[in-house]
Amino acid sequence: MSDLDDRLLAAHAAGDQWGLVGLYAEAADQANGVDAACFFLTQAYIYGLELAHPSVPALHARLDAEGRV
Amino acid sequence: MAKDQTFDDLSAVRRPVETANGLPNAHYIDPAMWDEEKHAVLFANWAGLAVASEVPEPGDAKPIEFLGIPLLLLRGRDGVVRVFENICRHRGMILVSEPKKIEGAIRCPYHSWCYGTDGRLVSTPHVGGPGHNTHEAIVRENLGLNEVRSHIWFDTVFINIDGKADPFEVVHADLLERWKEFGQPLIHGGADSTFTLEVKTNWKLAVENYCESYHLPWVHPGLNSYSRLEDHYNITELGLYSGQGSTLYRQIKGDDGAVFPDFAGLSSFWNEGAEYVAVYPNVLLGAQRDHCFAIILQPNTIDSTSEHIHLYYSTKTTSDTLRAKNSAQWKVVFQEDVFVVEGMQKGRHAPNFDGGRFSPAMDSPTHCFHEWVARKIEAHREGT
Repeated sequence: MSDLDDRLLAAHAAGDQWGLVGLYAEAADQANGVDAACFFLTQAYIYGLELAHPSVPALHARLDAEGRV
Repeated sequence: MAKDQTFDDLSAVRRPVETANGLPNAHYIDPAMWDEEKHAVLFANWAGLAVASEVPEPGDAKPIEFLGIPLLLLRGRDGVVRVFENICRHRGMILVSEPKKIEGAIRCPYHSWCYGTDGRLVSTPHVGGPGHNTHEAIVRENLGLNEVRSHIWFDTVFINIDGKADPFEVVHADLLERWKEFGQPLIHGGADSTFTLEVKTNWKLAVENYCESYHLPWVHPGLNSYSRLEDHYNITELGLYSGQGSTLYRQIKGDDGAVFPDFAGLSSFWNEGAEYVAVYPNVLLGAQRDHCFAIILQPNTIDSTSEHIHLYYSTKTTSDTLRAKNSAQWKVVFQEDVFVVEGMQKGRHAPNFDGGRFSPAMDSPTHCFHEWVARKIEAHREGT
């Protein structure tokens, strides 16, 4: 995930919150285990929630499926 | 402090205007009195905070500090304007630090608890551990933003901080009836129709000066040329509100003679009638056939006040030029009052000033305000 880590850090540094939603969702897809995935999904969901990002319903559904909303 | 009055003695203020004294100096310069009035007068009643037009669109949020309390003026996605304490229920962090549009949720910048524009707590990330966003100890339904009781009238957002005042419609039933013809949409004139004056005075002196017409020929000679003292009358509703009225209101005209369109359905009284009322404690309103205004007095410290002026019209399509002329004219009038309210503030440091004596003919609106303040302080001291 080093490339993804770099992109996440760059997005944080640039204040690119819109980009963070996608990057954290990508991190969730690459995570090992449910807890790690839900951590990243939560990050994506919260940043998206603030922006009314179109991915929010899907992120919410993934968290809900794990009982994490 | 005046030599014939004690700190707690407000009986002289509550006498009839013919024999009353004004509020003692302490009410303008004593930090202990400032603190007491904050609770007894401004928190315990319906104080003006802002105008609803400051958050015109759903999601618009504006942080406002009121007497040290961080508040958030917010128009929800449902269109309703509400006032909240501008803090997260988690660690008390300030939520919104500058005016902004809330696109989705209000996210606390600390641990990212999220709130809807209606104040509901909608998400608590990692509150049950990483990736676990719930915990049985955190009941979201009980942890929405702390809402401050509010009421909107005349586009003005009134708040009752202590939550104990009678309903706004009850407290101001008389004024609502008096001005019921203005119970119609007031269209804010926009950016060119609002301005703020920073004044080095206690907020009450701005109210007192606004109430009365006695000073017009001396302080506003230009205004007096078309709005003469003899055409004014006192509005004095003891225990309620006060102000002044004019029986010879003349509309502002453009170079081409154009005027602003009238508000709909006004009775003939308003053809040449105009009224200017102080809605206690800190809101000053003006009602005229073709435009209205609201002034919110923001008490900053015991001797500094921000005067926020907003002008309103009957339609969205008024002349830019005429609006600008009108704003400029009112700004001159209100600026002419600055030296007066600042001078009276300085005067309150004279130890032998006894609160002053009133002209029974001309000062009854000011006395009415003092009497109201005194009765609110007395009620606070009595715990009623």
